[in-house]
Amino acid sequence: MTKLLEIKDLLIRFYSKYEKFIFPVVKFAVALALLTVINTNIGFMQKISTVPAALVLSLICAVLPVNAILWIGALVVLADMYALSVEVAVATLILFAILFFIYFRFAPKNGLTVILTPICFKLNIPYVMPVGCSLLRSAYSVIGVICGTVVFYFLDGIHRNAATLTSTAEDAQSLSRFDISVGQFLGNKEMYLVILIFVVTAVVVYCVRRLEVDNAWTIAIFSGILIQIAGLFVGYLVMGITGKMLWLVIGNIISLFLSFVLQFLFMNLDYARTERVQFEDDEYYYYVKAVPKKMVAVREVTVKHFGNTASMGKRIDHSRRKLTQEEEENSRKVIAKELDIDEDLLK
Amino acid sequence: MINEKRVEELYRMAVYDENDDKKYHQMGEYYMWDYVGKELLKSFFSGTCAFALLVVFVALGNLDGVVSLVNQMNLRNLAVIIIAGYVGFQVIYLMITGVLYAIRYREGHRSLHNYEVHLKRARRMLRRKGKR
Repeated sequence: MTKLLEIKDLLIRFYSKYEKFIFPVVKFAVALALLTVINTNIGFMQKISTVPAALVLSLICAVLPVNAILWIGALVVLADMYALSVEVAVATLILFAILFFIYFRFAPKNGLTVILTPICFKLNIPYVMPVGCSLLRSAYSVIGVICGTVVFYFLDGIHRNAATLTSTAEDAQSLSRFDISVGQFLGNKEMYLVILIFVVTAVVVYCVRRLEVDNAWTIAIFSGILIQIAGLFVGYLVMGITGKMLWLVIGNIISLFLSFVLQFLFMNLDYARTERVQFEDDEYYYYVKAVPKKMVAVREVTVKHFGNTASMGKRIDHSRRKLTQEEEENSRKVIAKELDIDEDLLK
Repeated sequence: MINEKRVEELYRMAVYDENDDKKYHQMGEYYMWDYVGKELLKSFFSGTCAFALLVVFVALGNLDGVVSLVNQMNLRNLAVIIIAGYVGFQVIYLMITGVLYAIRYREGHRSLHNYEVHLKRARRMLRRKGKR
């Protein structure tokens, strides 16, 4: 455990020292992951679905704010949808516009949440998102998770119906393309079930982790994971959705582990050393419960000097044999001060 | 001789000015319900735009139904459905806005209060220094 705390301390010091370089690298990695997921699943426009294009766009995202990754990702998706079908591109554009009105109104600082949610869905661990957001941020950051969930289910539906959507256009088939693409949002009951469970999970986790009880974060994490397993299990049974139970359990177990990693990094408390104090100032009387964080004690470095301590901290130029007048006067002053005698005695 | 405590107070004020002032500046200028009311007004317009887009989106997905409804000339029923949907959408949209911005106002107000505490302390220390 001490070793882990030392590694954590090292990571925090490393990050605080090189934050200016690390954050752009993180943005680059997230943007590249997002563009790779887009290109492998809905990369219908060959020109922008290549690795060099993804690398260039990721480099651009690295120097821009986080919300720029959202805009660039949205533009790439729209380009791919346009390559697939004009009708699908129009439907996607309208859906993105609706989501932007919701996202930028309610949770504009949660860009990373919106970006990471579809990536986590692809990795079968979307359950970490509502729990992680509620642990680290406020409950309303679940709005970013909802936007990411809608985008994932919509684009996943488009991906599964790509063959139908690319068939030659006639008027009737044009209408059916609108039906299919809009139906991925309106007729997708699984998406609404997942959104409902995520919202309930986020609210419960947020409320529980803010309680003044010992191990509040641990209880919140377990509550969130259990709500997700139970809620989605029952929901899938009622809707007759099969083939997802195994990944539901495995995904939640992995999410549980990741949530505990987040707890270790951000809220590692030692409840055994809790202190309760009372004091007052001019305005209030305070009842304080202080729970210390688990930390590794900083090693005190002791420096021992041997030999001529008068020259401590000074650069001595050994190349010269004869000292100048000024240097002679300075060294006389230093020695006199160290020996605590009159300077004139050394002349 | 540098007064470390004063430097600490001034540092905390500088951190607030650098990071939080942009977010929470308005909380010092408005009362809570004025601030929430202003945001509700903005949400009314953005909610209207979002609902209009949602209607277009739903219509695109059900064009056959829309065409048959228009052909039946039952525009009154259509208008009632749209208005009822708009009112329901706006109620939920504005409720979420109200709750969210009320929470943000409280957070910002608390942060502003902490800033004022540091400001008072720094001012007190400067006055004491002036008297000496």
